[in-house]
Amino acid sequence: MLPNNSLVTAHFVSSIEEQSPSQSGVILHRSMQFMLALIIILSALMLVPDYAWSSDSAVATEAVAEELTDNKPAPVMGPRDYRQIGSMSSRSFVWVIAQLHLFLAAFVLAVPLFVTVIEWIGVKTGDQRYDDMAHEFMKVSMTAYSLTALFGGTLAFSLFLLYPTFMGYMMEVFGNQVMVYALLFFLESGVLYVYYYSWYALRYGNKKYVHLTLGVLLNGVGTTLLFVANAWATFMMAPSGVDDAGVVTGGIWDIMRGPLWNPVNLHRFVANIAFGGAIVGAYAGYKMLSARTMEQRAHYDWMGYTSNFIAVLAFLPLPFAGYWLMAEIYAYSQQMGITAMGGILAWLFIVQAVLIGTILLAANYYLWNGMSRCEGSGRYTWLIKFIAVTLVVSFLIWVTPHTLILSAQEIATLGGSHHPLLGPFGIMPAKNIAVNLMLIGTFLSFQLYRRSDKVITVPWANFGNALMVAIYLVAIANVIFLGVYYGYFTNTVYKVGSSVAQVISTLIVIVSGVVIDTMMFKGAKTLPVKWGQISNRGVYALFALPIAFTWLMALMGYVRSSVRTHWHVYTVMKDNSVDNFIPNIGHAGNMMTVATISFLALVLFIFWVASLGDTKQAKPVSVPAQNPAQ
Amino acid sequence: MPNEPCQKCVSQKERKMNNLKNWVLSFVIAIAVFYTMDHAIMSMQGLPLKVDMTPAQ
Repeated sequence: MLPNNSLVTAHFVSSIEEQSPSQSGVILHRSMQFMLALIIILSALMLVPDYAWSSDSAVATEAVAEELTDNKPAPVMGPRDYRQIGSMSSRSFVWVIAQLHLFLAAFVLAVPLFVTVIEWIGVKTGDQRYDDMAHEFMKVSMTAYSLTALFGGTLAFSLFLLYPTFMGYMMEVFGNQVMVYALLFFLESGVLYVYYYSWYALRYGNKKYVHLTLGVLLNGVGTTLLFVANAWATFMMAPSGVDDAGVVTGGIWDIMRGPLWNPVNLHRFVANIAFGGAIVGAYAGYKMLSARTMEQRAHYDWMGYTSNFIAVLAFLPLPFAGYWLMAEIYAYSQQMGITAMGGILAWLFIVQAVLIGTILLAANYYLWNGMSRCEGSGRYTWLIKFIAVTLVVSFLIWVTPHTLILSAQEIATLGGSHHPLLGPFGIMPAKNIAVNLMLIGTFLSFQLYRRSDKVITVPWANFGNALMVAIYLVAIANVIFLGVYYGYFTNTVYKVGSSVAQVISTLIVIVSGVVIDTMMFKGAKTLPVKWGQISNRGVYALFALPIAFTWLMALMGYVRSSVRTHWHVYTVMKDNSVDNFIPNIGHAGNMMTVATISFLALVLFIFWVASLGDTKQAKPVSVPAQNPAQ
Repeated sequence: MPNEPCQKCVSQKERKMNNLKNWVLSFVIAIAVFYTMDHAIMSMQGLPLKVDMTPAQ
């Protein structure tokens, strides 16, 4: 395999060299040769049979068994296995550093994903504005990349310094896999820099496709990095490939593919895109509000719209990914699921509802304001009040708690531990209805926005519109019926089962909406859109989104990690540190807030640095020196 | 010719009829899709429904 690969690569590289004789191009091509060589070496290494990666093979099993004779159970931790920096809580320190690293990593892994798609749209449409916008998105993420690495390094040092025995066990379990992570990190850095700095060198013709290929490669490496790191977190939550005492019994693949690995992979992948879109949306909003010319304002308005589009599009399927993750958590350990959603952490899901409600309200508000860019939107504005009422009522139902911590007197006044009227809104069937209606409402706003600048001309337009309206109304009726009938009037197993049909109802609306619109937009007349005309109030929604997203990630990341309760590795390695308890909600909220505000400060720094590159000092005008004696 | 309907009235009637057909057909399709989906999803989970949507005990 290797010689053939080399020949293909050599031919590929030489054909590139023939196309670009310039000196700067040669340097670039050398870099590309280096990268390609690295990829080939990596591919060759992956082809080498390794018992650790093929646990099915009998030979591999024997090899593992031989090696395992030296494996030890997970150590029982004592006070000497934990260290502290001064009087600072080790958990608090690692908490904030890990959270900041995750925020930054989510951002830098997400941006290239949609940048490559935008770049590809630019190629397909021939509209250079897409290319410029994609490049500007990358520029914002470049500063964040260095910060990610710095916080990643700090996190690794902190963990080895403060939790040396625990980290020793993790190294024993994961072994050489951590070096694969390191290698991928080198690869990610190399490809990222080549991708960004070759933007203008590989801009037109076939070279653009070479550049797009680099983008795909960058995203492939970045996503693999994410999945590798996820395996460490999901091993701590639901260990696999080890026995009850923590002795390694399987290969690295058995250890990695625990029951929660893929749900977390999907959830983080989708959430990262929504988060990244929201952050660059705030950048566009900041640049738009500070624009000095109408042309700049129009450009950043368009950029803000695109960012919001990405964030909302990725956000819509996110609850379903979260649903899958929670279902898998329950399937793995009912106790763990109950700790998350029925115990001390359950209240955090009410906070989650507030944050998601904020995100949906802000995203809708931005879309409604954005409709003012186009005169054709007048046909649909009458619907906004209905969507707004649906969102607000659903939001209020979602945040209604099931139980309250009440005094005896309060219970007597209330007539019981549950409110007679609001009590039914506190349980999951009501919340499932609310969430699905909010998502359907948001998609309707999105669809109306897309239709605002179009006059549909297909002969079956009336039927298409009637079908879309029917799908919305029947879907809403179905979601409410499933929630009320199976949620309140049948047994629990139907309650849980019908929530899946509710989710599918919402997905049918989204998918059919996209398909019907795509077919109806064929040959449609396009009305002019006045970019830059959106009100400043609408732009402020672009700041609300990343703030709520960041807080939400801090919140749910804490819940995900805390479900382990007093275990470092659930049921395998006990946490015997002074912090082996779930802190009270107030303390946890403060910690999340510290991480969120610190990250937002870093984001401001990133925006400032990104803008600094465009700032040029005017050349000083030389004034002839005057002789004071004259 | 006072008894013959005017051309405009006929086309208006046709348009109304077509609109009605569109709406009826759309709702029939939508209801059929969601009804089938409800049965399919619940059966896949081992929770079959009867034709009138009551849970099979």
